[in-house]
Order: sequence, then structure tokens, then C-alpha cells
Amino acid sequence: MKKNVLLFLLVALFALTAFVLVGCGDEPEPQPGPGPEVEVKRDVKVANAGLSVVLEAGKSVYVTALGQADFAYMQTIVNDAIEGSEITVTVDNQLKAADLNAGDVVISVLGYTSKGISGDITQTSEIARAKALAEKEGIILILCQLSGKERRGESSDPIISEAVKGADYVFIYDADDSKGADYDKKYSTEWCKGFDKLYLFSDEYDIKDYIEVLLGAN
Amino acid sequence: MKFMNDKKIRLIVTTCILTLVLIIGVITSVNFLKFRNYNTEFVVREDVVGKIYKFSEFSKHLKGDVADSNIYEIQGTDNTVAIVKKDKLANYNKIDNIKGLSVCGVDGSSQYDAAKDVFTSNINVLATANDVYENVKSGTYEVGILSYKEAITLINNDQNENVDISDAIVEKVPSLLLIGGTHPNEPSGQLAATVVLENAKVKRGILYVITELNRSAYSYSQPQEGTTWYYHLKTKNGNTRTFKYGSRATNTVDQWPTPDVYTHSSGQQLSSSEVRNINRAYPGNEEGTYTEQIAWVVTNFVNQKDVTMVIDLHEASPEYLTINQCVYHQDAADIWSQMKINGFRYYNPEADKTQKLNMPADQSPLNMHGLTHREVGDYTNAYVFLFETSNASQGKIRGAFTEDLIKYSAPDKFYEALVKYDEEHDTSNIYGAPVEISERVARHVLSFESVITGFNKIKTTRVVTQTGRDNVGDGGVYVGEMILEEGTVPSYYDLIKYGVGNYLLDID
Repeated sequence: MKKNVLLFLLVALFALTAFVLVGCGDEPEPQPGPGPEVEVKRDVKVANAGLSVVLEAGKSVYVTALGQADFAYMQTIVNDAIEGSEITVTVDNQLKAADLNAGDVVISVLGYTSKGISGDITQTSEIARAKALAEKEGIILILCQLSGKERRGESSDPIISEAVKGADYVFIYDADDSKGADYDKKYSTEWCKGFDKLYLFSDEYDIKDYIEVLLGAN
Repeated sequence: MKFMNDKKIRLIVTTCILTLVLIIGVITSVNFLKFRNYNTEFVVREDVVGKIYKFSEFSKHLKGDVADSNIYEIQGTDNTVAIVKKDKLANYNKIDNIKGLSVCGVDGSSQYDAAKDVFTSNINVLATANDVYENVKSGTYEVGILSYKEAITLINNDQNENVDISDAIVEKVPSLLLIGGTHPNEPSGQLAATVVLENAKVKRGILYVITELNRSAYSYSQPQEGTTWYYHLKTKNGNTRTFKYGSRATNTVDQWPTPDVYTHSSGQQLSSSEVRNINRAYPGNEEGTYTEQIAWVVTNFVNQKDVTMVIDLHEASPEYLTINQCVYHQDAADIWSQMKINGFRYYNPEADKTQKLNMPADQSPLNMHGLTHREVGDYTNAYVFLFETSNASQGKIRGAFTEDLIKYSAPDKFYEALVKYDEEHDTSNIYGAPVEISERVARHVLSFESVITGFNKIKTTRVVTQTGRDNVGDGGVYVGEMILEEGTVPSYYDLIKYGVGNYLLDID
């Protein structure tokens, strides 16, 4: 009996040691991603960006958020962009794809708040909303990330990666100090690979000029 | 140890040990007591700081207690004020009480223009500020209208001192309460408030500064952290300023016992460790716990003084997500947007250009109670902001606790290793790399200026509020701009280049 117990303990010890050794092994080194297929457009003056009006007469403009960050600032940028025009904007941070019609323009801010989201909004529901908006046919989806690296990460990235699949334009803040939204080149080499409507801005407020042109508010 | 068998020797050894314990106990107790009673000194410029309010004026049970801290008031030099005879101060402390009295002012002054819309009686025009002062002093007129600068200069120059500034608000101006020292283990907040207190001059508006919000928490240190009690900074003249590094929470000597679960007045339940955290105690309660009594000072003061903006300065550990950023009450969203567009800018002479500091923000969560940016925003008319910087001495992976760690004047090898690891492995164990105290203070001071910039911009910007609250002033009255005297608040660049000590004044 004693012998069996001893044998069992030895086997258990061996298994535990093996488990610990495997568990503590180095993580595989991250592999460098593929290089950019399109030239990164950084701080391009709006006149040189080759934009044209996307808002058709009788169609609606919506402002929403995917991840709950910078929503108020996004509203201000859009308000400033349409100032003096007759365009009206519907603001809804929980805008649903089902509420939209073909030709509608949706401007959404990206990035997850560090304070978390509350109520019945969860990361899962935000991913689903992003996916639905990206897959909605006929709408014009303009995505904006107004904050940098600090609004990227495991909370934001799954939402962003879904949303960009259906984006018509992606505007992101990316200061040239490795703290921007494209600090790890995920936007430029992975999510927006082969997509030529990705624009990077050192000052996120310059996005206003782009939205102004796209909405024909200038 | 045969000798220990001897009863006499055992008695001597025991006595020696007990004596040693007693000596250590006495020395430690004296040190603790010294620390508790040590008063950090702040330089109050007599020609700039007009009034000092005690906390107990706004939360009565704090009177004479350790937490009976100060609120410093800096009036704008161009503010319109009413002067009256000292013996009338108590009666003439409200505008409604002086509206029908005989009034005089200086012809053509902006203060005269501001006052003539308020007074029901005609304002008699005099040639100079001195004429106004002398006429009030002699009793020819009951009220004199002057700029704050004129009034305080004439009052200070008068040996008899029988004239003073009334509390009556002749012209509503914006005001800002800057709060440092909420958490005494977050030194950049206190230092930034001190830099502003000791340097800023206001042209229009009223600036209120608190350098030690929770003085009880400055009276002891966080148990089990082994923190340094004091840290020091050299002024421009080479003199030493001493500051305390205290605890996040109110001293248990002042608030005891600690319940297992802390239930906030909203019903929100938190861990017991938060029951003595002032930034979970808002809006506060004059009859509540010691911490709630202190929190009530802020809410009550902001309401009584009708403060327009409130800024609460904090720090957090580098591995905390909410760092190097702002959290604002939803009613301040428009100001925040204008801050992003027009604020956080500083001139960098080396690059010969204006640069922009990256500052993300979150709106205050509606269901997270007890914090300034939620409760003071909800319970007052003020626009409330909270800022965080990166403080290695609060972190959990730090090395030995030293003054250098507080100031981050020497790198902490554990944090440096983690920063390097994150860079190499594309991970985010740290959200804001530890930086020197001067950079953290510079960030807070620039944020303070940016709030004013944002507030001043909303008057001309079309406003879409989420709550429908009047967004250009208090109670629907446009209160105009708040203006600091140019060059009196050190710039982000200068604070980093020359160090925070350079902007602290010498004691005496």
C-alpha cells in the first residue's frame, strides 16, 4: 500500500513539474506583420485627399460610437463640420443597423473607454453592433478614432476589427510619437490592408475638414 | 546557554529587552506624532491671495480639527467689487442689501459700466479711485465701486483700515476651484495646486485653490507600504521645500471603526478600504463620517460660492488604465471638446513650434458614485473635471520606496524593465510609463489652463448639450471669460525644463 502511495505521489510530482515547465515556457516571439500594401496617408490636406460628397439628398446622417469613447468630442467635430449648412444629424450612441436605409451616412467614433461601459452594453453587444453596421448594405460608414494608443487594446480591438470590414473611410489620430492609434501598425497593415481610404492625422480635429467635404457642408 | 538558567540573568535580559522595546516604541510614537502634526507650508502672496477660508466654515464639525484645511481665494484684478465701511460689512454682504444705497464709482471705468446695470440708485461719478475710497471712508457715500486691484491697494495702504471689500457680488464672474491633495500619496496634484497658488495671477474671475483636501490623510502613511514620509524640492534660490507623502485614506485615528462593506449614500456598495477614501465620499455629509464631512466642504463651498468650474487633481499607478487622461462630468462635455480643439497646447522653443499634448478622456460613468466628477457635477452647477498622471510610487511592481521614487528622479529598475518588455513584446502592462514629478505637475498645470481655455470658447461656439443645461455660465447668466494674467502660470515646457522646484517660492 505504502509503495503504491509513494508511486502515485512520484507520478503526481513528475506531472506537476512537467506542467509547470510547460506553463513557464517563453511565449512565442511575435512575428512581424506584412508590410503595407498601400501608402499610408498622413496629414494630407483635405484638398489633396481626392474626396467627393457622399451624402445624397434626402438621406440621413447619424453619429454613433462603437466602444463608448470620445462620443461628445465626435459630436462637436461633426457639429463644427456641418455648421452653416442645412444638414441635420441624428445622435445615437446605440445606433442599430436595422434603423438605417441605403444611402444613409454613419459617422462612428472608435475606441473603448477606460472607465468601462455600463448598463446593458457589453463588449459582445458592441462587437455585434459593429458587425451589423459593417455588413449593412448601401450605407456609407465613416469610422474615426480620435484618441491614440490608450484607446486601443484587448477591449477596443475586437470591435474595431469588425467595424473596419465595412468602412468606406477610416480617419484616425496618429501622432508621430508611437502613441497614436496606429502605434502597432494594425490599422495600416492588418485591418485596413489594401484599403486606400485610411487617413492618419496628427491633430484629430483636422478630421472635421474631411467630414465637411464628405457631407457636402462646405 | 547555561547562564540563562540563572534567574537573575534572565531578569536582567528580560528587562533589557523590554526597555529596548519601550525606547523603540517611544521613538516611533514621537516620530508618528511629529509626522501627524507637521504642517506643510505654502507661500501665500499677500498682494494676490485676498481671502483664506477655513474648511470648518463649510462643514462645522471640522472646526479646529486636523482636517480644518484652507481654501485660498485669488480675485481677478479687474473684477468689480464694492467697498464699504468695515462696521457695515455684516449688513452689506449681499447685492440686494446695497442696491438702494448711495454709490460712487470712477468715471469711464469698466467697473462703473458693470455696476450701473445692477444698482437701482444712480452711481455718482468721481474722478479717481482714491476719490471713491476717501468718500466711502468719510461716509459721504455708503458704497464705492472699484476694481479689485484698486480696492485692495487702497485698503492695504490705509493705516486706519476702516474700509473693506464687501462680499456682495456686483458683477458675476466665472470661478474655478482647483483641488490638490485629495490623495496625499499622489503628490503631483498637491504640487500643481501649489505652483498655481504661488504663481498665478487672475485678471478676471475668481480662482480658489485647495492644496491639502484631506489633511487627515496627510497625518499618517499607508500601512504596509513602507513609504517615505517626506520629500523635498529645491527652489530657484536653492532653498528646500518639504512636502508630506501621506495615505490615500483618512487616518483611522480620525475615523474608526471601518465596516466590512462601505455603503455610499447612493446605496452603492464598495469594499471597506473605500470608506475612508474622500473620492468615494462625495457629495459628502456634514453629519456623516469624518471623510464625508470633508467631502461636504467641497460640495457646500461650490454651491455657496456658485463656483463655475472644479478641477480635482490625481495620480495613479503606471499599470492603471485610467492614466494620463481626464474624466469629466457629462455636463462639461462641450467644454471638453473645446479643450481638445484649443487646449493642451504649449510652445516648444527648441522645436520653435506649438505642440499639442495628447490627452484622452472619459465621461464620468453614471452609475459609479462617490467621485468628484460624478457627485459634485450632479449636486452643484459646476463643470467638473478630474485629471490623472502616472506615479510610480503608487505602483505595485516598484522597488524600494525612496524620495527618488516619489519624484522619479532616478529610474526604478523594475518599471524600466517592464517598459522595455512592453516595447519588445507589444504588450500593455503599463498604460503610462513613469515620469518625473516635473512632467506630471506640468501636465496638471497645462490641464488647468486648458479647462479655462475650453470654458472661454463655449460662449462663441454653438452648443449642443446632452442634458440641456445652460452651458455658457451659471443659471443662464453669461458670466464672461476667466482670464489669467499672461505669463504668471509656468508653461508645460518650462516646468519640465527648469523643474517644479523652480516655481515654488521660498518660505519666508
